[in-house]
Amino acid sequence: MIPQASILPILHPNPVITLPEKELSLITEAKKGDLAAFRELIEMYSPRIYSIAYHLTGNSADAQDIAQEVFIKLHGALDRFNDQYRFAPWLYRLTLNAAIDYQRKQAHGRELQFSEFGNPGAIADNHGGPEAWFEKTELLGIISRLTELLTKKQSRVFVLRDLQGFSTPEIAKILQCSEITVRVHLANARTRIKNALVKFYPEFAADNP
Amino acid sequence: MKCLRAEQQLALFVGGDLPESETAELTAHLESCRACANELERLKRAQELLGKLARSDQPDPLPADFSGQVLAEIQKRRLDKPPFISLFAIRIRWKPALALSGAVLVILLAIGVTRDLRQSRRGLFANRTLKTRQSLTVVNPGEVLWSAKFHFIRNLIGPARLTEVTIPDEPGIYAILHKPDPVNRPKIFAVTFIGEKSELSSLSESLLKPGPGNRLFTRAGSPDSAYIVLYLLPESTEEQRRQIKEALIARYEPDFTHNGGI
Repeated sequence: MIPQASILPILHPNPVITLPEKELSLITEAKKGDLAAFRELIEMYSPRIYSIAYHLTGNSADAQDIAQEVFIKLHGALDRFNDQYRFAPWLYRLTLNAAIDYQRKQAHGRELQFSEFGNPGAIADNHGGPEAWFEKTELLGIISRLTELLTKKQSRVFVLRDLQGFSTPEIAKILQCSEITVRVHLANARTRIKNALVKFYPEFAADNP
Repeated sequence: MKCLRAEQQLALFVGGDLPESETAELTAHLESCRACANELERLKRAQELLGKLARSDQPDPLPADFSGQVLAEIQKRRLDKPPFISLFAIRIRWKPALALSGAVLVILLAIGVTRDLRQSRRGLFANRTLKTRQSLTVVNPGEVLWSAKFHFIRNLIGPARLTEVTIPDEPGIYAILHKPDPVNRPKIFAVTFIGEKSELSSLSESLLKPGPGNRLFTRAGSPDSAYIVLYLLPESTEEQRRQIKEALIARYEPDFTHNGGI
């Protein structure tokens, strides 16, 4: 009955919050104005930041814009950043906030309908199970549309934990909240997503005999 | 254990996020509750499916030279920015607090236009916190347009009518402003002078008690129409104040400077 850890859809198995020596020295050099060091920091963090932004927006172009904004903000704020050991959580928080700002700007009048996931008729006709249905469905952006069913806090925690693989204590550091708060949002997020899948794909609701 | 409570725990349990202290109780509950066991299965299926989706749903690769693009954009924005913001980007090599002071100083030239000067007389030179979020645009050489919402700035005073203030005995940078067209463009200030208090004092004894003969105020029309803003820098060195002052002079092109003569 105890679930296996391997079922978690973690894309990045080893997220790093604590910084190795090399990154600390890069930050120090970048703060002094060394653009080569700043470039290395971008190269080091951009895949993760881009991935987080993509999971929150579901759009590569938007995610790239957000990632760019994050590094521009980082460049402007580096001088004032003193606690280098908290660099990574701070940078990830910057990413979440930038994504939220971006979405807010884009969100004029848009209302999410679950039918965006596909044609309900097609779902009813499907006999291949949910995975087969999803394989036939346009997958791009689907995760972000699922996260849109969540509150902002829930989606941040969900993306960081279930898609990005951060631990609960790490997420608490990133979001500057307690681990209990993280767990509450995480539980609500997972329940809400499960309920959405159950609602629109009845096979999910089937109980074991 | 009640099923309602178990529901939230299940959602954590499915991802290995339930604290150990709660795991035993939940496991025992699952042995005896078919509904919760089924709920756990649904959660597991949802997690598995999400994993597959997440692996399939990947963004396009970032451009090969993404870091180069970011650096180019940083450079571009630095050039495009209104000059007062570019002053923020000047790398000042002294203590961060003073570097920030230097940046804030830039704002001082345009702060407080709409403030009620009668109010500002009260405790004018106490270290104060202004709430200002301003935007500042250089409209012409030597002229700045200011619009304001408030944000937090310390040690910043004015603009206040010069005739209505007492200048404190502390080091700082001072700017004299006037409104070239107070009727039609009430938010536009022209920068008459930027300097340190020591310079002001040495240049004109009458400065602190301005009189009609003082050229510093001829642009304003009369001393009553001159405004002063200042940023107190009590712990700064002379060199630091000089750097700040020079940056501001280069930026705001005042009519007069110490070297240019008053």
